[in-house]
Amino acid sequence: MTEAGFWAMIVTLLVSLYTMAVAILAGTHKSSAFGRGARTGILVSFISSSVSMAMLLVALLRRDFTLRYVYAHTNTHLPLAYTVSALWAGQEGSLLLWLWFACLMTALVGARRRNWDAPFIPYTVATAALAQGFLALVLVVASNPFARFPMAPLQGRGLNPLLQNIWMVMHPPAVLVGYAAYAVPFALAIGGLAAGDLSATWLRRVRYWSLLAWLLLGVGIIMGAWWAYLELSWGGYWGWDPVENASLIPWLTGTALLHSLAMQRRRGAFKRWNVWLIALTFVLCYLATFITRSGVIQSVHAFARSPVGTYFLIAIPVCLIATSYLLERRRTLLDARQDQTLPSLTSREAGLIGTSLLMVGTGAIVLVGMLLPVGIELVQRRQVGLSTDFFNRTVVPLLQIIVLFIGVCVWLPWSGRPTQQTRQRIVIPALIGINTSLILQLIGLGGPVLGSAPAILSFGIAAFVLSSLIWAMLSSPSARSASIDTDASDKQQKGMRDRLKDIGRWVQRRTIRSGNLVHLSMVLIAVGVCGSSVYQREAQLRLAHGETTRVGPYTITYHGAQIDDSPLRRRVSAEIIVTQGGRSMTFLQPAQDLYPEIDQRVTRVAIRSRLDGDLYVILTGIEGHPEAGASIANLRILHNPLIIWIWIGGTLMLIGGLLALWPQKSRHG
Amino acid sequence: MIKATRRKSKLLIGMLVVSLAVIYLVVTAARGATAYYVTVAEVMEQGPSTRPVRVAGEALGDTIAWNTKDNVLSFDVVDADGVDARILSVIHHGPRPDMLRDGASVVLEGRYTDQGVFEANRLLLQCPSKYEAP
Repeated sequence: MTEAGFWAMIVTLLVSLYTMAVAILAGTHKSSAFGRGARTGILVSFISSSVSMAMLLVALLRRDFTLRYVYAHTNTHLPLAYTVSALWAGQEGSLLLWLWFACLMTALVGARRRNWDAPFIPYTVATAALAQGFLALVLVVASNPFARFPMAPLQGRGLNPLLQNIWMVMHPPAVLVGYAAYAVPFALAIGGLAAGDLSATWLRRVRYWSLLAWLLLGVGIIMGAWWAYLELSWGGYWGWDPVENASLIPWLTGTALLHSLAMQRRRGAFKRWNVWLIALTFVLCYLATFITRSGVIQSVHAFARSPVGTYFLIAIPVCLIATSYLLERRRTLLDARQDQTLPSLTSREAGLIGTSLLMVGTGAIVLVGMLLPVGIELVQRRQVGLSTDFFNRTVVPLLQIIVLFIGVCVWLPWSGRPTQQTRQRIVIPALIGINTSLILQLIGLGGPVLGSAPAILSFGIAAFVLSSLIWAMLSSPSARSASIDTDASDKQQKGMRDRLKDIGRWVQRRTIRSGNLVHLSMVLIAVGVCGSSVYQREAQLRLAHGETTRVGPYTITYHGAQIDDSPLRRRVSAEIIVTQGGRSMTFLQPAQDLYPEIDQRVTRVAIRSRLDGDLYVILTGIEGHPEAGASIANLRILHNPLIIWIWIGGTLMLIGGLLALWPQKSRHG
Repeated sequence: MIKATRRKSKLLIGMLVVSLAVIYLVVTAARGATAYYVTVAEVMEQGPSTRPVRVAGEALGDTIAWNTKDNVLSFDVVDADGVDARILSVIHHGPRPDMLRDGASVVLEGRYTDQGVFEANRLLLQCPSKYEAP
């Protein structure tokens, strides 16, 4: 039965190519019959890719070990949720999921009849169909998830226990859906250029999809970091590994894109730059796939080496050449209606250009750092490793400047210079920022720790930016008018439902204007990153049963160990009670799991999260006889100040992004 | 118009200065952060050195010893390609990574000491890939 999955992939491939062809004809002949054909194609390919997904899922659930893929990623002991997640735990499955997302995106763009009134849609659909056809081709030719063994093995290999975590279940699809979504702005760019239509409708679509893709990818990256923090027991969340960098680079260029798109919306400028950024972001997603699949770059992630990467590498120049050809052909269109005069250097426009440039620059540095070892190896024939210092010394200061920019830009007016009034107002947040730095210095946070001077500075910057953003949220004209609306509705004694609606609209207007909430979330993430990386403290403890010790403000007591045997693993856990200042007691149970069958140890950290910092407890070993109540626990304890703000920031980013994407009735500006 | 061009050139100069600063930053950071990969055999031939290097090797499962009390990890590695049979003893002050087991590929950052032991400041173990079971 699962054969159907393979044939459905071939159908997807053929129908995608058919869709592309008819969509192009629809564009050239302006005939509604071709348009109808393309819409049918879109639906058929979405259905056929869904059939492939369903077939693979069925095979996984039935533990059909004749399929190599099912054998490699499940076994009969695997819980249901992780069996489902095995759908994207392997390369073939994750590519299939990508294909499915791509078909879904194409359907969202082009399945509806009324969307086809826009001239750019036929070519956009053609490009999107080509992109999904490419994925289907790679699956059919090089990465078939339905490949079989001649005979079924009795048991599968299972899913690595380290991957059995809720964030690991969600992280790969979030990143993939981000990659899939970035194909849409690219398709729109190609479609718009081919049709010669870069109208306001086109721009709105581009902005919408760029924001959606940016949000999905960003959330995916943060979930991956969270997984690393919870599961990998080294106390960090980001290691500047090529695999992490590969997904960060398109996110950085995508951020640059969002800022320069705002310029295009306001002034009709930066059309070329935007098209290039769109194309660049899209091919960087392909580059990321190449890097993670080809084994070209030494990474701590051991990926299966496969020819899949090569296909993506070949696709990159094709996309770039197509983009530059179309840009050249539409030269006159691009130069028309462009406001060439540059606004003053203290205008919002200048701030947006600066942000866009800085983001691209940061992305370029990460790219250089990722590819440098490969380059040196090619020249010198010797393998070279680049330590994380490189990124900490280059990317981190740049991101710092970008955060500062957020706060400064709040005060810059569109197409002009700041008035006397704003110049007076900026003094307050600036003072808040400076005072924060001074106070932190005075209470000794800047003193003994090496390299904490930049940290003091960045907390000051964060305070300045936060107060600026809060001012912007409370005082923007739309917020004021919205609050008047609410007052008026109160007087009329509207129903509860209307009032809730008003409040919703009010919150929405306040927060999404200039992406205030999203910018706020970035500052919170910066605060978390800074606090946890500069002020991380570590202690090694060796505690006998019943022994108590003090670490910083914490009192830690060891209450014995537990041994828990289950069919696949043996868990040894220590029972720890943590108190802080004689109150707020927390029970923690760091553990070590041993899976003897696959010779895999998994350290299960216990984390006590508070707004001011996490206590991250790692069990490194139990000695003695836990059964007899005479054991010694060896613990490694990390204090990660403010780290929770990274995850709070990530959640706020998601909320702010969703609010911005939410359809509004009265969209102005 | 003149004003606009002047502004434009100002902007260009600004961009140039910023990009030069960034390039300078990248070059200096790269110089300090690159380390050559050497093979197990090369480390042992070069002998004791104060210069930190990166060694890629394969861990030998039987030799992994983890002293929880003193927080010292020791194990032997061999050349991953199996070209050379020489064995390098490694010590590391720190916890035992979960992925350290027989046959695990490990990247060591550190230096070869007078005692004929490689003292690793950092251990990098290949993660279980997000996309493959072990």
